[in-house]
Formats: sequence, C-alpha cells, structure tokens
Amino acid sequence: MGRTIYLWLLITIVFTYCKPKEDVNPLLDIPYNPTSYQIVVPPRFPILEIPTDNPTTVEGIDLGRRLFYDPILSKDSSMSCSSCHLSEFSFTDGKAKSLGVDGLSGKRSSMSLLDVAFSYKGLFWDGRAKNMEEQALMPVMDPVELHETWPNVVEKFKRHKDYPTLFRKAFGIKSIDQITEKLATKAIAQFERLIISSGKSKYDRFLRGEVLLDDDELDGFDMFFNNTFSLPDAQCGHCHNAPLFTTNDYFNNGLTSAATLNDFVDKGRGIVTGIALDNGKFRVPTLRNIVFTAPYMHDGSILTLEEVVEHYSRGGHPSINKDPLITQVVLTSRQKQQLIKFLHTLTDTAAINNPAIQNPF
Amino acid sequence: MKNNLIIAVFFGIVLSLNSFSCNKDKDVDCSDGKCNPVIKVKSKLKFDGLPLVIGDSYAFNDTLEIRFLRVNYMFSPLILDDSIISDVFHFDFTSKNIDKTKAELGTTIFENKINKSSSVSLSYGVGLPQKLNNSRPEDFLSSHPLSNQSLYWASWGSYIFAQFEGYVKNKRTGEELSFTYHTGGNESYKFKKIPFLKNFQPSTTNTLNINCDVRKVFSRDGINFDIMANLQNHATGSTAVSQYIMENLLNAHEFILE
Repeated sequence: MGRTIYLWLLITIVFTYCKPKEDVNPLLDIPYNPTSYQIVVPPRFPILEIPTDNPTTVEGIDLGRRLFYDPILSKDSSMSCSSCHLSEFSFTDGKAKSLGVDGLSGKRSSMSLLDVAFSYKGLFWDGRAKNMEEQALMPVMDPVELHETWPNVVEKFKRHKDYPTLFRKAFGIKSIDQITEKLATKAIAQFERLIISSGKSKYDRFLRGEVLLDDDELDGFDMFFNNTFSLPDAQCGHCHNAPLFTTNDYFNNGLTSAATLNDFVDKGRGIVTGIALDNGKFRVPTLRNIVFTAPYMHDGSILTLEEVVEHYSRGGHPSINKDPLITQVVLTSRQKQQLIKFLHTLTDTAAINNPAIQNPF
Repeated sequence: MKNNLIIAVFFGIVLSLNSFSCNKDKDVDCSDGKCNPVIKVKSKLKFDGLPLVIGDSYAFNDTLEIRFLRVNYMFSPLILDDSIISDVFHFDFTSKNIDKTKAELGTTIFENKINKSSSVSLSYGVGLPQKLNNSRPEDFLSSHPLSNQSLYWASWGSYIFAQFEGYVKNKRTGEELSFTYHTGGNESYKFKKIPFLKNFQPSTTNTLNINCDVRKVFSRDGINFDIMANLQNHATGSTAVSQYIMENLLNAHEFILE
C-alpha cells in the first residue's frame, strides 16, 4: 500500500514537472475566433482597400480602439493618439500645432483622420508613411509627440491586465512574447478605418436627391466645382475633388513665399521625395467636416474659413513652384460667403459621433 | 607536376567538348510563347526636340518663356496591328522629368511579352474612348490609373484627358502668369492608325519609345497657340481649346523602335 502511494506520488510529480509549458499558458484557454467586420462605405466613394495581411475584425477594431485612446503609448502615460485627434474636432485637435508629451510643439497641425482609410497616396502632410499601418508606428517614436520607444510600449502591453487577452483575441497570439509593435499598429489601423464619412452630410443627401441646397449653397457648389459660366470659377475642386474633397495629392498652395526652392521654412513633401520641385508641397486635406478642423493649413496659420477663402482668392504668395491653379480669383464678398455656406454642407456629425469610434475608457 | 598539368588540360578539353555537345543537342523550347519578343514601352517628353524638364524654362516665342509644372495625359489604347498592348496608359511626367538625365532616359511604363514577331501598323488614342470615359474612379482599385480622383471632373462627367500647367514669362516686362489647360469630354478623344512596319527580335527586349513634343501641342502649321489670350481652359463647354490641344497632342507623337 505504502509503495503504491509513493509510486503514484512519483508519477504525479513527474507528470507535473514534465507538463509542456504552453499547456499552462492561460492565453491558450482564450478562444481565437475573430469575426470579420464589413466597413460601410458611402455611395460613390472609392473602393476601400484592406491590406490582405490585416483584415478588419471585430476583435482587431476593439483592440485598436483601446490603443488609440490609451495613453499607454506615450512616454509618461499622459497622451494617446486621441490627444491630437479628438472626435469633436473631426479627429484634429483644434490647435495650430500639436504639443507632445514634453510640451514641445510639432511643426505641423494635426490632420483630420476622417476618411483616412482612402489615403492611398501616403499619410501625414508630407506622405512619409506609405500606409496606415506604417503611419501608426511613427507618432509613438516622435520626440515631439508621444516620445516613447516601441520596445517599452510592448513591455507595457505584456504586463497589462487586459492587453495580452485582447491581442490573443485579435491576432491569435500564443504567448505574450508574440505581442509586437506590428500587431499593435495593425489594430490601430483597423480601428482608424472606421473613422469614415456616414454619407449623411447635407451635400451627400443633396446628391442623392433627398434634400435641396438653398440658393447660396447652390451657388457656392457651382463656384466650387466650376459648374457654370454664370459664376466665377473658384478653383477649389481641382485639389478638393469629390467625393473625398481631397485628391490626396501634394500641392504648393501658395501659403508661404519663397525666393528659391530651398527657401521654404518647411520643405514638406520635398524632404520625402528628395525632389526640389516638391519643396513646399503638402498633402491636400479633406474639406469634409471643415467647420470642425480650424485652424487651417499644414501649419495652422489660418484661423477661419473666411481667411482661407481670402487667401485663395488673392492667389496666394509667390514661389517658383506655386501651383498654377492657385491664381487670383475675383469673388464678391457675397460669393465668398456662398462658398463658405457650401462648405458647411460638408458637415457630417454622424461620422464623428459614431458610437463605434468613441473613447471606450 | 608535369603529369598533373597534362591531366588538367585533358579534362578541361573533355569538359568543354561535352558542354558544347550538350548545348548543341538541346532544342530551344519555344512552346507556350517562351521565345516571344518582350516589348518595353518608354514615354519621353520633349520641347523643340530637347528633353523637357519640369520646372525649366523654354523659349516659346520671341517674347515669352514657358515652363511646365504639371504635364500628364491619358493614352488609350496602344495597339500593334490588332493586338492590344495596353488599354490605357497614364503618362505623368510631373514627378519623372525632374532633371535632364531622367528626361532623356524616359519612363518605362510597360514591359511584357507580346504574341507577335512583326507589325505593319500601330494605333493609338489620346484621351479615353467613350467606354472607358464612362467609368468613374470608384470603379477601379487604387493601383489603376483611372482610380485617381484628381483625374476625374464630375462637372464634365469625364476624366481629365490631359493636363498642361505652368507659367509663361514675358522676357521684356518680367511679368509671369500661370496657365492651366485641362481637356476632357468624349468629343475630345482622338484616335489614329499609322503604318508601323517592324520586326521584333524574339527572346529579347524591344524598346518602343513613345516621344511627345510639347511644342507641337501648342503650335500648328508654324503658328503658336496664343497663350496670353487663353490662360486657362477647364470650364464646361469651352471645347475649342480642348479640341485644339487634343488634335495637336495626337499628332505630337512619334514612335521609335530600338
């Protein structure tokens, strides 16, 4: 009898000792069964292209949403992505230039994230990130933004009470060692693709024949897109073409004067391409929800829409590569107001109030 | 030592003969189009026969200098005899012709095998034929040139077939004014078929240079376009300038097979 007990004890000890490590990994008890998520794209919008290596899932969006709003990504846990991209400002921050965790100012204004999923020609004002997954890497490391390192962030994820589970559910990791910055940015990109127009702006409803624009809005619309000979061509639609109200191309809009191509204070796109003629060019921002995204321009130097229209009607400041489309446009003060009234029809509160993209904490 | 050298030479000769013999015995496998010629299409932009560099100034006439900041246009289709090489090319020189070397070199826009050894004719169009022009950017993936929102103008219900933009400077007064010419609309599409008697070398790359001289776009029968009187063309219904530019653009091309 005594022998038998000892034998059983020995067997138990051996089996307990030899039990494979992964068998005791609690992550493996969490089911990995991601649910595909179909993002609703408004009519006449471009095809939404999802990277094959980062399909959109409910679990990926959930993780990305938390990461977007969680200050864990910053050096001192004081800021998150959402600090510079607030929903009430159509995912800008209402400042001319954003401040980072150290109180340092960036050199450019926060860009709206509305419809960012369609930015196939690069992200940031200068297009230095090729896609959304790549873009999400950079603010964490930027000294004037979150000023953290990804290895530190990943360590914080590993120690966190929730994130290992969320990474497991979203990406099927088998151990916390598989948590990486790449997975984190994939999740953030999945979430950001949800920040999309609702198709419920007055302009969109007008196109569908659901509402009428009033006379001023209609004149503004016609001038914006140069629809008629009876009104001046305000030249807006070339760069802010529908449906996104941006072509996502890079232009020198005459914001600053420069005697030579090397004299731009901020060389913008030129730094990325190395092409001198690209100096002083910046990505065209969307005008959807423009009423929420002041101050305007890449440097936040223009405070109001009235001043924006004034800038363009004067033809901007001279420089060698100022876009030829930026030329003096003679508009009456009434016509300027009509343009602004048309811009107000691009307001899409349903997009930015979408419960699925609000702060989960 | 001497024996070793003799043995080495002997083996060298045997191996060479063997190798030669094997090559001789091998048939060249030309099944499934393996020996078909490769055609590489290169686009080049010129002004008065010289490589056109974006941002550089060129004499337009006795008083005006011209410099282009944006040049792009649709080229659709490209056909050798009855074989379609491509449905649509978007020739965009704006970020390509940034210096003389790159402008001289041209831009490779297509490289693939073709299923023919010779041709007698070449057909091409500038702009987009109606069927393609009736599509919209949202019909295409972002990798396709017709997905580009900046090339579609909803007011026309048309793609912008060509964009020529830049500045003209009066050499006497120093005054500089911008010009922008956008063309589009089904009536602006131009198509042409020309004799093109060529033999393509099998199993090798045949380079087809498509050269466009912008001088010819803004000049006809030795008379220059009156730029100062028509600084812009992108309004609905202003078809005269659009027609002029597109007809000239069609004839501004030459095709050279290297």
